[in-house]
Amino acid sequence: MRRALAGAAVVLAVTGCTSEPRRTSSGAGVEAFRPDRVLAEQTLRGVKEPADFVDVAVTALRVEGRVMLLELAITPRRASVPDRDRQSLIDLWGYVYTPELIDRATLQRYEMLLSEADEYYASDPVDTYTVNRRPMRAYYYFAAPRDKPDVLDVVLSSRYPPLTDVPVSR
Amino acid sequence: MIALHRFAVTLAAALALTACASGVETFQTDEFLVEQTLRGIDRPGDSVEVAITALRVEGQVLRLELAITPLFATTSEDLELRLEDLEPRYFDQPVLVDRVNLQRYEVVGGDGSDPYQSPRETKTDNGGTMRAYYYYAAPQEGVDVLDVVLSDAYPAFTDVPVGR
Repeated sequence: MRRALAGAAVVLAVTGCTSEPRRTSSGAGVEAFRPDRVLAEQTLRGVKEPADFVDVAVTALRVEGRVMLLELAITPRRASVPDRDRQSLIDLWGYVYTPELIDRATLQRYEMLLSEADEYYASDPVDTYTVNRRPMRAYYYFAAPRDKPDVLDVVLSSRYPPLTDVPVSR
Repeated sequence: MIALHRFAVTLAAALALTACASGVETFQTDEFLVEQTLRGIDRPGDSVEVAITALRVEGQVLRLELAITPLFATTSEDLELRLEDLEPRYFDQPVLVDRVNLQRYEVVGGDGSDPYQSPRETKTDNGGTMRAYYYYAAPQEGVDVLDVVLSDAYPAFTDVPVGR
């Protein structure tokens, strides 16, 4: 995490952005979410509601110790939903969302981490929500890859084409 | 006069006892480890300031203490707000995450008994500050920091130092 924060600070310095990770003298901070730092993105169109769109951007694919974080910025633009209405992950997908990572070089497939209590180490599908046009952060944890790939494919859903060659940071 | 004198002695004795054994919980809102303001996602006029005032091991348990200040857009001057009125998630059962050891800590209890946390009726005035506490199983030695997650819809507090 320290390394990740240091990385974020460097990026901020380079881009000249003034918003810095919020830190206090205790060392504690607040999670920073940068929906504008996009590695790859895709716009999904509603099957039943063709005027409904959802932008999905990969904002991080990063190895953190024994695990790997996939962070998405999900922005609904759904004409069928009033702008003030809450939209949770489960409202958007209709099911518990389980993206996958594929290493096409070694034919490895990475699935989300599951705890002994059968809980995914991922954003809660009901408790994670947003409104139209407001990016929502969603996170999914996987085992850190042993082969140290430079890129992975991100399969958001079997219904849509995967995002290819997304760079893995460490 | 004699009676008054005796009363004074008794009072002094009581004070002395208090000083060495029991006491009254102190709650300092001006000293915190980290804080953030959460603006309502679907109610942008309503915000809640949240500060972590303590994350401390006390024997077998770990105590999380928050200072919570609701700032609701309202025309009513005497609005009272309870924990259960607030987002995110009614401030019910925040989760602590140890991202190094991949451990998750939930509020103690809950299986048939009431969770060991502030009652949901805990209240304050709009703009006032209330305290909320939550107890967890104490993490093993060597766990120096934890993330505090109120809800996945809002940013987590990261690397909050565990006092021992």
